[in-house]
Amino acid sequence: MKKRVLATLLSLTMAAAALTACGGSSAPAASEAPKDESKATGEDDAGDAAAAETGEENVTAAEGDVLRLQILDMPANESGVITGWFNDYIKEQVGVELEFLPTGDQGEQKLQALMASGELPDLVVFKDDKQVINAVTGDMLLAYDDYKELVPNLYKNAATSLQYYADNMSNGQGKAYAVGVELKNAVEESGDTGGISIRYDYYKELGSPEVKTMEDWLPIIKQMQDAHPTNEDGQKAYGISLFKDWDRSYMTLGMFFAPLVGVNIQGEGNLAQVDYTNNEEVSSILDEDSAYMRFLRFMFEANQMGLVDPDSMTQRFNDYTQKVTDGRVHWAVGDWGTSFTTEQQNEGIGFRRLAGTEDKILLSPKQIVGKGWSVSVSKASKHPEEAMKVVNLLFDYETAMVEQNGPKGICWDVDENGNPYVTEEGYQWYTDSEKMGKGKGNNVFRAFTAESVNEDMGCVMNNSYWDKPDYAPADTKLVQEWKEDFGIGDMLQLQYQRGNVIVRPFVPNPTFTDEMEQISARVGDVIKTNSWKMVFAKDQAEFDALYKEMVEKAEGMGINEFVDWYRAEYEKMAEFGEKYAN
Amino acid sequence: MTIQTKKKPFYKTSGFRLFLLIMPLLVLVFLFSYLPLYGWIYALFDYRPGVPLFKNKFMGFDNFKRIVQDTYYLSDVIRVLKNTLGMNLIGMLTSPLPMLFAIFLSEIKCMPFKKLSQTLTTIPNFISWVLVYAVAYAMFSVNDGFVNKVLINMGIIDQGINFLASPDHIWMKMWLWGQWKGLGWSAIVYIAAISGIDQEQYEAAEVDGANRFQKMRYVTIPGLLPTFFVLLILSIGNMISNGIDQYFVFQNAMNKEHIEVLDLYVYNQGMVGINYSYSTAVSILKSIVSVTLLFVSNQMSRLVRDESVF
Repeated sequence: MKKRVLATLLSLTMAAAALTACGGSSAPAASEAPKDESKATGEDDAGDAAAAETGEENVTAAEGDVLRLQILDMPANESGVITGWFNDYIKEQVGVELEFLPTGDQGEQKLQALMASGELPDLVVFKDDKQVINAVTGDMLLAYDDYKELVPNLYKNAATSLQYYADNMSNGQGKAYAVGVELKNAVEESGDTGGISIRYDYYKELGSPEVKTMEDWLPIIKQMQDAHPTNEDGQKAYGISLFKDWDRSYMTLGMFFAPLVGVNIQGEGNLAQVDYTNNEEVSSILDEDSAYMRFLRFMFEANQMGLVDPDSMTQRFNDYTQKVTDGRVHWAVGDWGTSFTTEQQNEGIGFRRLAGTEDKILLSPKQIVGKGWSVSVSKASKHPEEAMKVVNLLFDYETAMVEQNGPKGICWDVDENGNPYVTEEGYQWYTDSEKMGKGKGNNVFRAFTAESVNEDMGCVMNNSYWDKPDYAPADTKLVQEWKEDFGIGDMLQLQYQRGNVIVRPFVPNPTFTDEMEQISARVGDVIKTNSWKMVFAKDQAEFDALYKEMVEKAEGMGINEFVDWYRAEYEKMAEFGEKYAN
Repeated sequence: MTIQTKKKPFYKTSGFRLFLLIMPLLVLVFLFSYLPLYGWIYALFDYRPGVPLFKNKFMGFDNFKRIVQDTYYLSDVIRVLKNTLGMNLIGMLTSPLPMLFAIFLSEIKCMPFKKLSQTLTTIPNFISWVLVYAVAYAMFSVNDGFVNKVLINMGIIDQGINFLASPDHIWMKMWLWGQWKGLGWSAIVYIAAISGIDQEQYEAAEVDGANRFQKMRYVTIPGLLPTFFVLLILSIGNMISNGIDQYFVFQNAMNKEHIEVLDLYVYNQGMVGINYSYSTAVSILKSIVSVTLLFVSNQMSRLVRDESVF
């Protein structure tokens, strides 16, 4: 009898244990969850989804005395607790430490899984406004309006953006659940932007041939590759290398190519482009004469000439930047990995920006509501006030300057006239990777872009736009040569001088409807696949066949509906944008 | 005196006690295998992550209809099914391999070598596919892969071969990776079964003058066949779900058409394409096909070999 009772008891306990172990996901399992999260690195997606399901608790486990908040920062490529001087700064200011949930190149999927689980981490940086609307619909965010006293900086420095999000991304509730980041309150007039990146030393070897338009680069790249088929270590080098990490509805590198020919494709999920060289005409990115197709043809021809790295399709972003830094890539659309060491630059080795004399380049306008990225505090946060304080801190102008220029008092300071200047120690910091670059996550997110103006002080945020003191290190030989060759400070100034800059008008991004989001994803799948195939097509016939197939499928799946919708929305938004333009 | 036939209360019967012993397992099976079926309900709604399920638009069977009505979805599903079944068929045709491997392994008389071989072939099973891809990239990338470098240095080829971004023989390549990873592991069951074969049979065979190969042929293999067939039937039931990790890490634009298996398609449609409800519908389809296949194969086995799983 006794045994029987014992047996019954034991089996019941086991069953109970089994039950509670599963039910654990609804009860806070603070001690377990961090393990899940750290295991779920961006690379392992099955792991991500699983971790998101079981360990979605907002683990704000206080470690020591410092409270730790989790942030899902989709544009960032970081994971783990941030370390370094900026972390110290945040700790000092609000007594909070931030931990990045890994996003990798699967940030969207991670967000989906977290949304499905019903709870978001303490802070979320969204990558498009549709995501904000979805989260608001799911009642997952806190409204800044309810915490006004905690976020004075938002109301002072980002009021328009708050208003914009309250008006448009709150499902009619009229409250701001998010606020734009990377706010830009001034248009840049100088800077190392506005062109492609090229190994300037190799280009000069060829006698600096003239370039009128994008396609003129191809023969030059060919000559560069022929002259330098390997880097110094004997590793194979290519004119062009590509990567697929950011692809969503098309090859995202095309999005970076378009503004260099005066066209804007707004967002990685967009299937329409706006041509600012042609009366803001809205058209499909698959039209024969679209900037995206021009990009594909460019890359296809480059590949026909043997200039494209055959590993482009299989390598990751990190492999790519490593190759650029190792001198195994000669020409690039973006500047990822192109900053060579001071020693190399003083030997004249490295990348500089260049552009064809006839291509118009596009600059983004003042974006005082943001560029479509935004930050929110999660309703599931156990420490909403601290999370609010973090957002408030990052929207402080001085914090923004610290974030971009290093600790105040060490790297930079303000002189008696109220102008900022870089200190001598500051210049040491900037060249010493052990100092400025030490730790990770020194850019949590930028509330303001580098060229924005600190309205309190009346100066530009980033030190690259400040007056240089006498003790500032001289330009490297590479930079010096470029300046002498063109007789001007930098590429963007040159573009202004040539009259090739178009500053596009401020038009808020149309927010995808559910239906458009789905079309974008579905058609995008076809475009992505066929685009890569087209770049690596054997010959023109195969290229054309793939193009035909892509257009046919895309039309069958509704790309034209998307483009029509976007055209209508864009016109609406253009009018609407004037309301927020200033 | 009357003999009282007192009926025992149910909780005192031995059957009930046994039932209690199996209870925990039943609970687990229910929790992990049946409860998740509740998720099928998502196929009936137009689900948006974040919005509570019942606030989403009710779609009825629209998502199922779409699979057959929309030409693009239909051709996708057919293509994906072809890939899934094709790759699994290769796996099935080569399913005697682990058995043969186990037999040969057990014939090795040099213990240290035997242990070493078994360990080395088992270890890959514990390496995640993500890492396997990292190894694959290090081996086969065109510029830096050592395979290409060796081939070029030996003068066999003068241009690197793009093994990873090519649709050629992709099923075979995937199968090879799968074998590399799983062969040793799948052999374990057979190694256990071999040790369960009655030694007297070998002795009898020896008396009859059988040599080593004949013993393998007439004693070991017949002894392993029941295990083999049970595993085969189970694998037929599993035919349509060949996992996602391997194909996820190896997929790229060039091979996607031939590498996208059903599970990966469900993931690509649902998580990447933000189309949860449709992908749920596809995965339900998968469950139905799986159950059908299992029953068919079981029936076949009963007819052909007079043996069945249930």
